Amino acid sequence: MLFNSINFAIFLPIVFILYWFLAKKNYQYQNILLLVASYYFYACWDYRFLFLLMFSTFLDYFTGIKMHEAKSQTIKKTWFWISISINLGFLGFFKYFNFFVESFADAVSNIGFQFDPWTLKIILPVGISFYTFHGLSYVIDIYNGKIKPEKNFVDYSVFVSFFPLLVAGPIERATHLLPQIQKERTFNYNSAIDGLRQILWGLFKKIVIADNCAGFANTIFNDSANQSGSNLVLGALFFTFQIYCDFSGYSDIALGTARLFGVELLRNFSFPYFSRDIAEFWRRWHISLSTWFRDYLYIPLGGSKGGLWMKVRNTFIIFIVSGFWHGSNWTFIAWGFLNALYFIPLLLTNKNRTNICIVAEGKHLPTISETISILSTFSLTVFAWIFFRANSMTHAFQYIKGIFSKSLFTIPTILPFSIIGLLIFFIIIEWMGRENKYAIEKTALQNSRPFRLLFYYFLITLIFMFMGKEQEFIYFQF
Amino acid sequence: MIVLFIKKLVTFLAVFIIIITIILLLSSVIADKQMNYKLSKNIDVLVLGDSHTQCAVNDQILQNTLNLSESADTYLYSFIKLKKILPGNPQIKQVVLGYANHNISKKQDLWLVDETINTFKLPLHFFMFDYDDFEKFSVLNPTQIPINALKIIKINSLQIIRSVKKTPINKFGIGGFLALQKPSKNNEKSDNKNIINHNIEFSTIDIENLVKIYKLCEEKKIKLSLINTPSLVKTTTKELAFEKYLFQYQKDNLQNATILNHSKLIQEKIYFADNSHLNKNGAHKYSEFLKLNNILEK
Repeated sequence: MLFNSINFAIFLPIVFILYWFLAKKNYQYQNILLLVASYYFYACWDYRFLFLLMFSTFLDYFTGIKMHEAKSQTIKKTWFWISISINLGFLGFFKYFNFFVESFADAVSNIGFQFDPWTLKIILPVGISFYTFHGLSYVIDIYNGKIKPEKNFVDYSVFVSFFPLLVAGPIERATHLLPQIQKERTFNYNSAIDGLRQILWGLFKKIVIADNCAGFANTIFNDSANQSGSNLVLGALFFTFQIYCDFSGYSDIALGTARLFGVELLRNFSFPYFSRDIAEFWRRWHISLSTWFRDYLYIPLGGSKGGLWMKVRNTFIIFIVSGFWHGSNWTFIAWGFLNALYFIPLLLTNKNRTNICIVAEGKHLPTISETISILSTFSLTVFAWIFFRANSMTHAFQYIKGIFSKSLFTIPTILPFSIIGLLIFFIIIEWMGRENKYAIEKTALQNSRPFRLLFYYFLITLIFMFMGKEQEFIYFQF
Repeated sequence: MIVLFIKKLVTFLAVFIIIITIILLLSSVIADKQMNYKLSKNIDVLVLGDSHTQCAVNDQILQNTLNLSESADTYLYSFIKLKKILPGNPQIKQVVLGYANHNISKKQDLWLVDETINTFKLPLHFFMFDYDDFEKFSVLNPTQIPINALKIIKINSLQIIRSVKKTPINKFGIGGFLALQKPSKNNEKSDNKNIINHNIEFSTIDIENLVKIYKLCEEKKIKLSLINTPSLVKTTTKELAFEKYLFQYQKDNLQNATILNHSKLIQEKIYFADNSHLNKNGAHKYSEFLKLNNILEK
């Protein structure tokens, strides 16, 4: 069930009404309802993988308790590694098995041995990377003594399977989400209104911007060999906006939906395309994943506390693993590697925390140097997205070669003015709202009620005008 | 607080829905009233159907003919157009309607409920819907009219502007001859793709609209010709089964309609854009054939 589907538009009000009217007497009833609704939501994709989700949930719940009860460090460690191995084993099996087998076959064919690799003909269970990381953070936190295990299985299951975040995050932490699930939730009018507003903005980003950019990005990427350099640049730009609006749109809908149920989820995006350097970009893009890798990989590896070599090594590891998390293709690894290359100079010159505050805070426009920094960072990001979107490394290099050709200076043949107009409108609204949690959080509130209503109606109108066949969210495949 | 929240949300949505519904209905009525369904006096043959007839019959060669076929037109849309055009055009003596294997297959029914097809077909034709069409369409697609409401309003506005500008009916997006470029790249690569392998399942829903077209022509005493335009699709067991049913259905249910089976008339690849669609030169050759043999009324 997609957030941008009619089914979800029916599902959400039903769950909302049952949650606040029928189950309001006891938060445990609300949790049971959320769990049933979440499992139904997940089963709408493929009910068979629901059992995998249930098993993964039970595994982490059980090993969490066992680790806590362990009388010795060895037993604790054994349970810890059982959980980690099984979790990563499932992820590796479903997501990376074919990649390793095919890469191995390619590697041995280069030294003269030929064999047909045996690959799995299975589909990737939707959201497996997300719920596995949920479970891992919980188990690691218990192992490190940061949290105590949750005894109530329903509460723990809701933490893993809460439907707004189940298939594409944000990747929650037990320390943040579990306490909200374990206590009574009361309906907050302002928060619910705010949630609806965020859902509206998320739908706008997904349906109006992402899905429309996707059409052009796909046309150009799928036929890149026959496109001019200028068209290829446009294709990369369209994909840049597609991926941002697709994923941050999903996150907005997830956060807004959770708020309707009295739950606050972790923020996942903070206007990343207004970043002044790559370090800032990575503090603002897919925040829940970046912080996950920081806390559970980068810091345990020594972080930036060791010498120069250690810093560089850890930075490469975290970016490459982050790239590989997105998918089993060398293009994702290259994307991660490229971002590490962008990041290293900042790290070595200790400038990776220069731009912490919001750009041009309290001002209407950025300074010239800020504008140059934003545009340079944006250009580097666009370039890296080519690897992310390309079907293979060869495709990516051909695409880049195509850009840097004479035809780069020709007028693009694909120039959808309506979409470009919408993109300009979108960038202006995002810029105006960059000091808030999401673009239209305060922009609308600062104006009179009739203006506000007209603005919402305008967004709804655009959503319906541009709505076509339901398009999946890109991050579902990860 | 929650009751207040629900009340406000419902009011917010209700106001929007009411406004949109009013604009939708008003714009549809205006677009319909403004539309000039009256054809030129010399047009006595009307061609309807999907992309097969759209790309095959060049109405610039056949001076007395108007081709209003449109890609992915099911018989529903052909019927709607016919209902609107016939009353004001008593000079029409013949209706030529696309009638090929795929038109009587289940695929045609699926087109009626296909989201992608509806998203572009419904807004273009909605202003011609009467209550009966609206009801039947809504039963088949309960969500499509609300989802596409704003697109319908947008298209209605465009249709009104076109009417004011006195745009010819075949430039409204509801049909018109389409000259495809000569042999498409697709055709060069598709030697092995000219076998259609759909299951032998016949239409049960859209075929009713074919009967309605037949009855309307009978009522108005208009000759109905069912045309199977040239095609390169290979004859497989399945295609034969369809073809058998195609002719049998006509004999059983559409006795007074004539069959124009030209599916094997042109077989040179250079005349096709792909296996089912004639290109510009193919349409020229085929239309000249229709003209020379006086197949369409004069």
